[in-house]
Amino acid sequence: MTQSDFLARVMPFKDKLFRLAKRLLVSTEEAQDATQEVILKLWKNKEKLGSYKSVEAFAITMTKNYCYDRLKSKQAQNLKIVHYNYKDESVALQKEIEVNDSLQWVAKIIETLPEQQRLVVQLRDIEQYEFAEIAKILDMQEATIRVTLSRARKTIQKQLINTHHYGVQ
Amino acid sequence: MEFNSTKIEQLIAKYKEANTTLDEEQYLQHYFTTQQIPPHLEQYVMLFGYFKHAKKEQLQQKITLPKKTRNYNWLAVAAVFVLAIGFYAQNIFINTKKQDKAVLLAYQQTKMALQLLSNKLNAGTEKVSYLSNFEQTTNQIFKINNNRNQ
Repeated sequence: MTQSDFLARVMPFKDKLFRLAKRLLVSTEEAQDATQEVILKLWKNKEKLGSYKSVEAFAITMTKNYCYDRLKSKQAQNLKIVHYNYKDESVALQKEIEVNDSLQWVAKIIETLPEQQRLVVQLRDIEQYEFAEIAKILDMQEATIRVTLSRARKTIQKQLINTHHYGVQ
Repeated sequence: MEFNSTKIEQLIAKYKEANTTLDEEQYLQHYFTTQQIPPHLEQYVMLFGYFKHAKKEQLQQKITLPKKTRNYNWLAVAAVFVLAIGFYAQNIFINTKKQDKAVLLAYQQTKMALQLLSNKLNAGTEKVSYLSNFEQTTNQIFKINNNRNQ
């Protein structure tokens, strides 16, 4: 497999890996490093890629594991990941900033969720995977995923009502 | 698309229990991001707006792969090998140079010794050359004697 073949296979889902990594690690830089690292690992094992049913699902599982490892080592070092990248640099118009600000509320709420709930929300609500796919990626029962997702959704909604009533406006 | 607010509320209840299908969730997202929303559902505008927005985020960094995954271990081995040969060759070269010097010295010393020997020898031969004078004289004498005898 040449480099361009490999990139052609990996490019379609590299953003998904990045978004998932960012959901877990929060920091953009950390997420970029994670994505790069996972793709590099895939490249090193490129001979085996053919034997996987879905390279994408495999890559997402790898990203998840990598991020968990990162988080664990951060915790062990008693460090907190600093996140200062809530705002998009590209936004110019005042109105867009307002919209973005309210969107950032949702991001912050999701960030307070436990890791597993964050993962499930990311995979289902943002990346829109089927439950069967998520079950395979996370190596969990579909029913468990539904329960986790339902909890996450209810928490988010509750928090949103709170901010809606006391916070933003 | 027609949106019926009772249907939307039913879907939201289903959504919260995580029992909606992807299509239904798409439908909800479409509704909340394009339509005029009644005030009691406004928090979902933010939620689905965020989901839609979050899906657009892209990896800005370029992915870099190593140019070629060639194994460079053999290169180290080769380098060590070349170095070893280099040292060895240099050693031999220095040794031969040393040997050359020693040989030259021995040669000069021998030459000097031989010269000394030949000098002494020459001195000796000079002395010996006097002997030929004796011979001449003896010859002369013997010649006379010989002549007499004849």
